[in-house]
Amino acid sequence: MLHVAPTATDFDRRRQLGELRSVVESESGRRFLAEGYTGWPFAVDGI
Amino acid sequence: MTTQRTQVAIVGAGPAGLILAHLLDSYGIESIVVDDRTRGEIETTIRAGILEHSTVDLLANHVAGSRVLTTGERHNGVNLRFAQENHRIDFAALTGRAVWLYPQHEVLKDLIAARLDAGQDLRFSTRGVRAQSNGTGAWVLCEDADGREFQIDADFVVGADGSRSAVREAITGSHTSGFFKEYPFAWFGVLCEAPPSSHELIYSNSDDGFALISRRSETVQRMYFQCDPEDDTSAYSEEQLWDILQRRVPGTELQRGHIFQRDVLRFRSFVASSMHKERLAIVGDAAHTVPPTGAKGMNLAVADVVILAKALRALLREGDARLIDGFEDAV
Repeated sequence: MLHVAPTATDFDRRRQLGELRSVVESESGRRFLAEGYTGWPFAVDGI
Repeated sequence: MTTQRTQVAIVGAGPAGLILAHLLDSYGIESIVVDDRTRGEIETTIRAGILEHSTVDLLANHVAGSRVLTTGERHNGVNLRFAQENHRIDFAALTGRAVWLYPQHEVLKDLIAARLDAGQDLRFSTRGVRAQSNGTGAWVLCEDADGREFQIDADFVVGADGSRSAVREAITGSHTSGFFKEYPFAWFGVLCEAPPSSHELIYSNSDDGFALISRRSETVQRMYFQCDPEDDTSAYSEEQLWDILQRRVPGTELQRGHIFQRDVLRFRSFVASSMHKERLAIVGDAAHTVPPTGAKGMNLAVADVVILAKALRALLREGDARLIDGFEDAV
């Protein structure tokens, strides 16, 4: 998501920045990132 | 050759193997854990350091003596930086959850101490592991530190033995059977003696490439920048490395210090073609290897063994094979 492909063109870079903005400027996008980073819950039962 | 009997033989004393052993013990299932490394090697090899919320819950609530909440550092967010802008992702506000910075080798110190303090079986420097299953049981053949061969007969054998798993071959029929992808870039990682440059992690995109400013402690920091997979770690002076990092993290003045370790981490994804066969299963990196980008490797391994522990409890205590038969789909 944040890496720059060795073959990236100027257009690829502008598209990447647009995609990044669409994630961080949306609450749903930020929440999706936060959920993925902190991990989906799992339960340890029976202990 | 000596032969011993246990319910579950676990190959690998990393986070997956040791947490599985711990969970099984809490379910009243005995196990023997073997690893080809020495205790010192396991406890000093520096690896990833980010623990997900549920991983921390498990360690804090179920592992005696875990220091994750007293020594680990809670992080309520990270920073994404691109186009000269900083965007903080506020985990606590968005999800009510957090991550902890607590290096993997510290997790392992806690788990090893807990197992040995409880008088449970954990064997280091065990080499030449081979595993087999006959459908109703399984066994592990290996050599101890003095080269003496021994066998562990078990109801089930679990390979938690990393990306070069010996148990995987017994399941898939080939060491490389699976789905593999190698990325056209890698991470150049450095460990340095310096104060933190940022309290929270910074993931930065720049025209020069990606960089990550992470931490290990108040005096040791971990940083990475995107590089060519063939890069030579000795080709850069310390000053050059700092200049590369600084260019990729505009807006933060990096605190420089002596770089005492440098390595190139290749980006590879691998998923084994099968993770379970008869009385054998693999977990963690043995089953699936992920690039280091999201700090997911150890956390995925923990999620695997939580699922597997429940399946083994059902199989070995209740004779119910439904969960183990569905293990691969559940993981």
